[in-house]
Amino acid sequence: MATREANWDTPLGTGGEVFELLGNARKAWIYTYIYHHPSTTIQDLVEALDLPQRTVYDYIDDLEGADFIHQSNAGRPAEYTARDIKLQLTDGDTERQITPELVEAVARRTRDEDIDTYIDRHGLDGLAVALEYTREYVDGSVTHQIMAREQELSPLEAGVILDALRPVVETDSE
Amino acid sequence: MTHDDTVVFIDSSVLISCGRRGSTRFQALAREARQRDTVFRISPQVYAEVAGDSSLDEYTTGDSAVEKALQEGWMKVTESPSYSDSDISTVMDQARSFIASASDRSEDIVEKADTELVGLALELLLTDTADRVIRVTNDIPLGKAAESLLPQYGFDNEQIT
Repeated sequence: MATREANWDTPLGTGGEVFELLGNARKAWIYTYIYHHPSTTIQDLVEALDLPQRTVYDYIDDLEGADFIHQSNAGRPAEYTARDIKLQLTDGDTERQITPELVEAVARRTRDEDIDTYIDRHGLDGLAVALEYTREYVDGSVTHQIMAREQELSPLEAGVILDALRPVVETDSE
Repeated sequence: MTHDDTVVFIDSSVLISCGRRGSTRFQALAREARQRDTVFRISPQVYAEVAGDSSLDEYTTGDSAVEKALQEGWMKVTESPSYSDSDISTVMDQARSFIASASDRSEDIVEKADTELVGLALELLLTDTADRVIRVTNDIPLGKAAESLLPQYGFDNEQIT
């Protein structure tokens, strides 16, 4: 949707694009890669992520159109740099944050079967909750048994998702 | 009971993590056990956690690697700690409080069984079954609980890494 105007200043418009991003793991990978590697070219992405060039072009157009990334040089080839995503959703007492980490967690479902299974079983909300526990886990303020009891999971499942999401939180704190 | 210089306990968090990465991590554990000429221990609670919940078969971490390790003999399931021994029971209660406080949660959310590793470590040291106990865990509050609680029984950190 390259024809769409940048809509960064209209939060509700951005919301729609964010949900689309969370629903598309390959697009989420492209955003995540650019987020961690500023000034990335299309060719870098094709090589690093092993995706067809056509796909990368299309998704870059979408991401740029939604203003999640922007071209950060003036010349050719174009280099892209990511913008931060921070979106807070409130539904009754429930609050969820959409962040680059959540996008990365979604992206990883294409390479980590356990994350894929977890999202199938518990949805994106479950994933967002697990990501919050992972932050605490890496900080050393929670055990996998505590997460299991609070979220009514088996300890094994809690242990699996904490281990799977660890790299998302750890790369972020570098 | 035979005397061992060093006893190594592996926690469920570590077995789960190894199990997610296919057989290579377990082979590395097996190699480590061989090099140390030791048999890694897991507590009954840990075994129950990682063994056979068929509703979770969709996940990549299976119980087969643990079963194989037990068959190959480089890992074994220990007895539960002696809850009736007051020192052991006390240290496990203390570990429970410690974890609850480190997690900023009520003690109800931590179960005594979560602290088996701490109780077992103390038991081996008190009964002189081992000179040194190593606990391998990814659950940081559990590791810290053992580090801070066991020294009160006269065992230093060299013995409980």
